[in-house]
Amino acid sequence: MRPEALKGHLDSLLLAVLAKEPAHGYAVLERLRERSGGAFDLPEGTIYPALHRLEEAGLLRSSWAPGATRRRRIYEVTAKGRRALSGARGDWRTFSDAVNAVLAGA
Amino acid sequence: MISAYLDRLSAELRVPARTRARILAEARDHIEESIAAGRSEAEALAAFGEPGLLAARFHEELASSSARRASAHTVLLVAVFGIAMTLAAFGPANAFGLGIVVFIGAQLAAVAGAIAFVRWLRYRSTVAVPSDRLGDIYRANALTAGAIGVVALAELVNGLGAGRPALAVGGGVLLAAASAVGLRVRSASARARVVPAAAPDEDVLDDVVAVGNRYAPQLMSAVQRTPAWLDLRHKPWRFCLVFATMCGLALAGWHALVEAGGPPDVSNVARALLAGVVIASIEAVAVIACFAAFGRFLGIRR
Repeated sequence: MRPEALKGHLDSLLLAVLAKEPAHGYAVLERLRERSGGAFDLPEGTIYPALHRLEEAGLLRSSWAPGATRRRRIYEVTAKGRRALSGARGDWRTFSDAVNAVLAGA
Repeated sequence: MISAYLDRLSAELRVPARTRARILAEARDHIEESIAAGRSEAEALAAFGEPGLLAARFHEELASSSARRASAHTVLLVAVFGIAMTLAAFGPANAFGLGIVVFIGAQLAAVAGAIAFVRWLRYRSTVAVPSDRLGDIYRANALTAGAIGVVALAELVNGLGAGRPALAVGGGVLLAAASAVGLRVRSASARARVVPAAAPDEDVLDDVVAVGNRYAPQLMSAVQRTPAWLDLRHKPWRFCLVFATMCGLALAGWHALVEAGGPPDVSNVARALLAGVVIASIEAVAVIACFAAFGRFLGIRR
């Protein structure tokens, strides 16, 4: 899948893969790849501006991992992020139901 | 190879030192983790992305968040300014020269502040501020802070000259706040300069419509049923004439009802009407002149 197809959805996808447990950037990308069956294979560095943006918006928080062999930033979802994710899931359900209904009738 | 890549990324980044250190540390961690998972260095670096492209993404994010923060500060300044001007209106009138400065500066601040407020409302919770609107946002913020600074300085001078310490202190505090916001806007706007942007094609009425659609959709659906000739988007001079007329009438009405002590009696109707026409005309001409001078700067006309 082309990276442009993810535009507008990347924030929700990142929140979803971090909702279960905190992770660093590489692990986030691996989870995204695994859970999408390899469909979401975007330029890896591009998740970091998105992670920073979500942190800036208060949807994620991050901290340096203690005791790691190299400096590693761990991200976790905040309460605000969980609420945003819940809203995004609802919006996506409505949107995908509507698109499916239209496409099925074509 | 990794160090050379990170050096290139570092050279491309135009961000504060702390942000740069964090980005580089995260990039190194990611690339080394990728190599530990079985990739070659070249594969890991290629998968991470081209440094120029990554830096551009960070610049966009930083410019976007800086614009939102600067707008929030400007909106706060406008609120404080509104309270201060309301309080100052209860005091004695300013000397004529300073009064003119305050009168024009306050109106300019009100218009630029209202535009800054609408744009803040529009973009405060969006994923990213479109790069072609960053300039519009910063210019409205800068003009707001500048106009408030000029008014505050006039009030400070007036307070000192007229022996009104409360006015002088208020003017001084407001001047300091406007300067702080102005400097903040200036440093934040420098971050937008590294983001490539196309020429914007939306004007301030597009901002108003977008905000209306989000916060008052029912009202906006009623507005959209109005005749097409009332749609003033992308018709800047028609919008200016309507706005100038409204401002003129509002000021003339305010003068007749408040400053002149209420509706005129029968013997004074002609005189009151003449005064109203003169006041409305002066105000309308002033609004049109300001529109000609600042309309393009504020993104009201293109």
